Amino acid sequence: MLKQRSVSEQDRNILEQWIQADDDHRGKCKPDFWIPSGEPHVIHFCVRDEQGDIFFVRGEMVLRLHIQFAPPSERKRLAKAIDEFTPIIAAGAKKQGYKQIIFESMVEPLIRFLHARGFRSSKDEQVRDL
Amino acid sequence: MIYVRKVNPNDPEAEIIKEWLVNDPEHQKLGITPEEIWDGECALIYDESGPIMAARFQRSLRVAVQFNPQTKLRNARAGREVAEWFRKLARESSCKEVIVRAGGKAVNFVKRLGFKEFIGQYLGV
Repeated sequence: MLKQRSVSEQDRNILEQWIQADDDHRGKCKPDFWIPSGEPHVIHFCVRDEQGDIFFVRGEMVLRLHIQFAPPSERKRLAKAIDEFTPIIAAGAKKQGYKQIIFESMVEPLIRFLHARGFRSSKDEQVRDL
Repeated sequence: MIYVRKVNPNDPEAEIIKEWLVNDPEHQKLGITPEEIWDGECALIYDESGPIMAARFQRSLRVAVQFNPQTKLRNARAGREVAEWFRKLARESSCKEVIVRAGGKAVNFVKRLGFKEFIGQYLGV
């Protein structure tokens, strides 16, 4: 039977030990990431089984964006519109408590264009539809 | 100078988005249907010359997990039940999906739990 418990500063030592022993997380994250600091719209909890703690969880809201562009004949207008739209939507999302905007694309010229405007590629992402 | 206006399925502007979509070879290749435009909130972006692109917004729950590396068997046993917790939490928060970025052997583990791979770009806000 699994249970949840809240996470606190008292978990710092155990988090440090687990991160050090974790090949995928060592040097990439710190206990602070897993300990609540009053950040709005971020949830933290620890999962326990009959023998004790088994993992720490952090959850945050992100905004997935899908775009339908006008035809390519409007390329110049599109480039200008994306330049203006990106900071507007980023500011609006931040205000609403979102931590990231996620956009999925396999079109290389578009990816390069987005990278020049602050987007980064996000490797190893897995998604589960509800 | 652009402006952004929310669009509903019965608005006349909805036809513009539908027309762009059915004439977009990349999106047709991906099998995106006009019905999907309304899955989430949709807005039309205008510049001085008129509508230039449409944006659809969906809320997602990003989850990160720090496992106890000493308890692999117990972690695996708990995985399926906790994935269901994430789904419930996401649904209750009006999210359309749960996203994880698993590394190493955890990739296969989350795939067995029903997660699908995607190629993403993200912008920190």
